[in-house]
Amino acid sequence: MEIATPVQVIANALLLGGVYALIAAGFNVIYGVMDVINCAQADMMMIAMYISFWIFELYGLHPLSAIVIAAPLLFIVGVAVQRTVIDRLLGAPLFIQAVATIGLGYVLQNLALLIWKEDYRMIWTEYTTATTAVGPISLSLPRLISFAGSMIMISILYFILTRTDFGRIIRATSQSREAAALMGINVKRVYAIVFGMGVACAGIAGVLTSTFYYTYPTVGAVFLLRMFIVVVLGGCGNVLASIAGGIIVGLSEGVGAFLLGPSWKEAIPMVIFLIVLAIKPTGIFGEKKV
Amino acid sequence: MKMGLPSKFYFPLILLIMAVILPPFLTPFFLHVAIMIILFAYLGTAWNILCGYTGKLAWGHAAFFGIGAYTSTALYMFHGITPWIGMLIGALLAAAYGALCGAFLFRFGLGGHYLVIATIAFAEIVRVIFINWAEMGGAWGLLMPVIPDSWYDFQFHVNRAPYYYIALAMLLLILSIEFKIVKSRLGYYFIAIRDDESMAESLGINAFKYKLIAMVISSALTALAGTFYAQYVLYIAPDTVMPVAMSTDILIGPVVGGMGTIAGPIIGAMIIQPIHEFTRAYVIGYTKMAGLDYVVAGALMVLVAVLRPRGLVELVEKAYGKIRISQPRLGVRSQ
Repeated sequence: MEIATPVQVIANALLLGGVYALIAAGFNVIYGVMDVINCAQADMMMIAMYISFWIFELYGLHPLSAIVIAAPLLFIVGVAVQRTVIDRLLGAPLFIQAVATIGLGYVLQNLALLIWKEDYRMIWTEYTTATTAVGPISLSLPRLISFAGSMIMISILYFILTRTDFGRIIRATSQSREAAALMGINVKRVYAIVFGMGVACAGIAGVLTSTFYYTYPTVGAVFLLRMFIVVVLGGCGNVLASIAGGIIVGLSEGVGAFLLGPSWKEAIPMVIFLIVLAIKPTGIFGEKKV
Repeated sequence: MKMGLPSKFYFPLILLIMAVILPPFLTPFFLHVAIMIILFAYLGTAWNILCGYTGKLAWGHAAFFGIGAYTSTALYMFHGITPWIGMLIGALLAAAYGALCGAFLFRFGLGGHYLVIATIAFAEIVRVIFINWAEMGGAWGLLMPVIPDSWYDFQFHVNRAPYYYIALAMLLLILSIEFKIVKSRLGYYFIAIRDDESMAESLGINAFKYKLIAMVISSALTALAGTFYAQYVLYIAPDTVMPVAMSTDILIGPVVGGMGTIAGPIIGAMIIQPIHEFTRAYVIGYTKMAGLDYVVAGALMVLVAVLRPRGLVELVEKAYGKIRISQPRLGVRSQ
């Protein structure tokens, strides 16, 4: 057991990286297609965490079943936000986009604070405390499932983008808005759907996370910064690279928490981020248009 | 020959005179609101010197603010050094850290979202260091002893007006510095870098050097406000003076008001801070609806970004221009 403990700590942190990867993938789709940075991404995730919590608390359903509600709901939220706010920010300077979406995040966070108060909420059920043994180490089952779920979602996203007609439409729009419009593509609709998809990714990540993480109004802050680091590490707009970015951040946090103590772990991804930035400013796998 | 002040200074001058005679007429709560407006107008201006003029967008000024707050507080509590000297040492340390960050960030020519996230990362690293720094109180932070009013100790409790005047003096200082910069060669270099960095470099401007200068000035000035805040609130902790939210609070003002303008941060602070303080004191105090202030502030950020991306200063300028034009011009202004 003594030897297994560090491995276990690191493995659990590594699994958390899967969720980082999924929110980052959602962010990257949006960024890659319409050059908009969505700083409210992690707060959308927080909303999904609450949905999952309440579905469990009020109806006693399995928390993961909330995906059925959270994903479509956040898709609709995303489309609505795109139509009302983001559409007017296309081509705006980066900072204006950041300010608008951070403002949006503030609104969501504090509406959650108004409605649900600042209590830390946690789903307690057999599932959330279950573990599974992999060789000598025992892993938290919800973390394992969330990692697997995230990987599956990213694969689906990648499949949609690269292997379907709709993906071809998205990629065409991302390459040239004007040319796509000339080919009869309804660019506005594509943007709305892509934004909805990106936000829905955050929603699914939220449901997966709620099974092993506290839910509270400002939980987004924890994930937003890590999401950015994942995005930049992997390369902006590069959907598949967010998996590598997520694993690096999760792993570095786990190793950092083990070697230096948990209070230092937040600094480790930052340091790695700055180092990567110094060596290869466009991320490990380079920037990409979806 | 110049005859007195140009007319565009009349309005600011009237505002200043009003600001000076204001405190005796204010209740303690309104005095607090006024102090917060001035403090954040100051912080917004410090941020604006870097970000508004050079266009290099930093989201980590909380680190400089925190370094200023911690330096003076620690020197005072552990060595009995007056916060006035601690303030200057804090500014020096913050300038040094600013130079370090700047050297790193600008050496690699970072811009856009990379710069934004890298500045957050630098600030977060400082926060985590302070959380783990046991001598500095760790995550609990430092609680200043409350002692009788004195200028040496920078504490005023019976009559809090000195805080107001100190903040006002600081604001005047930073505005005159900003004005000097904007009217000087340095300011033109900053703006040239903002408008087109490669063009500026091709004209022989050392962009790296001037961005670094802007960073150092901005971080040192931000640290001064950190000391003021520590002496005003008398309690500092990594999570109150250095979180990302603090950086956001610092930059909301200039963004809402108008980046790269002298009036912008002041207008922004005059809008944002009363929203915060009034909703906190009245709405939240009575109805327990915590968070309402940031719902309003957040909605305002979205609205300004969507409708007036250049900031509300545009509206004010228009209104002010109308007032000035409607006045008959007497005589010809001599050059």
